[in-house]
Amino acid sequence: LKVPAGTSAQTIVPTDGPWLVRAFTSATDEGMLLEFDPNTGDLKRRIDAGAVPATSIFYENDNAFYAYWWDKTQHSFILKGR
Amino acid sequence: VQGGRIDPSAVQGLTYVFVADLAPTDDGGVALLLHATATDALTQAKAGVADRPSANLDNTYIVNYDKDGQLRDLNKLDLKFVPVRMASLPGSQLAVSGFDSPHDRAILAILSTDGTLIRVLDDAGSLPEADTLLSRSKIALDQVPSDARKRQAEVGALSGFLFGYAGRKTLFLEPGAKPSVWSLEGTDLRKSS
Repeated sequence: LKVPAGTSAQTIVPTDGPWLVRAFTSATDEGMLLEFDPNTGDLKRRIDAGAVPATSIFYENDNAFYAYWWDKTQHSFILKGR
Repeated sequence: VQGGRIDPSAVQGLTYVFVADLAPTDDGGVALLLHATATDALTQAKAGVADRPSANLDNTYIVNYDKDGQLRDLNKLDLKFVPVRMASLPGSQLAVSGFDSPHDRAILAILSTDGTLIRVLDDAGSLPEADTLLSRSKIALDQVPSDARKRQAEVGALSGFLFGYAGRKTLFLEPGAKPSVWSLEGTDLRKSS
């Protein structure tokens, strides 16, 4: 996989087809979710999850993303988004 | 698993259990366990090696659970390699990564859910050999140089490789700044560019 310079791939997010990989920058430990082309290994896009960290996304199906996170009162919730 | 809670650390008859991997199946879940015995614990305690025994890489199990999280069966593995990671495949099969000590290299194999070896996948040598794994290990070999320590280091490095799922394909990721991905569909194993 062709990850951006200074980035380290860590885990694969289960999907119905796309190749999604959680990655972190070596310098700042900033997390990100990257989609790669399965045929070439090229980076297709960096996924922005908006209100929650992209690395909290744990599943993708039919172009919907599912994230696990906590609200301000520390209650956990599952967020579905597209 | 629907509505149940799997507790792989509480298998009756096994102590000092280490859960190497968990995976969902069509009708429940499956776990790959490494296990240390009371004898391991006593031996290591006498040697002053550790308060808690490390898992015995020769005592490995596949444990199947039903959809309620109840233990269905416990299968002791008898493989020619050390199993390290596991993923579920369609058709009640498992993909298992492991370290093949006699040939000093990583391998991928397909097992049935009772732990029977179905086949070792031939990937034309693209999986790492022992020297490559050792170079990526974080265990300091010079402190306790031994064959057992070396094998621990190789297996430890291989345990950083993780399975994932993309539709019908099972992926096997070597993490890091220069990551590689192997994709498995049926018995077709390919390394991504």
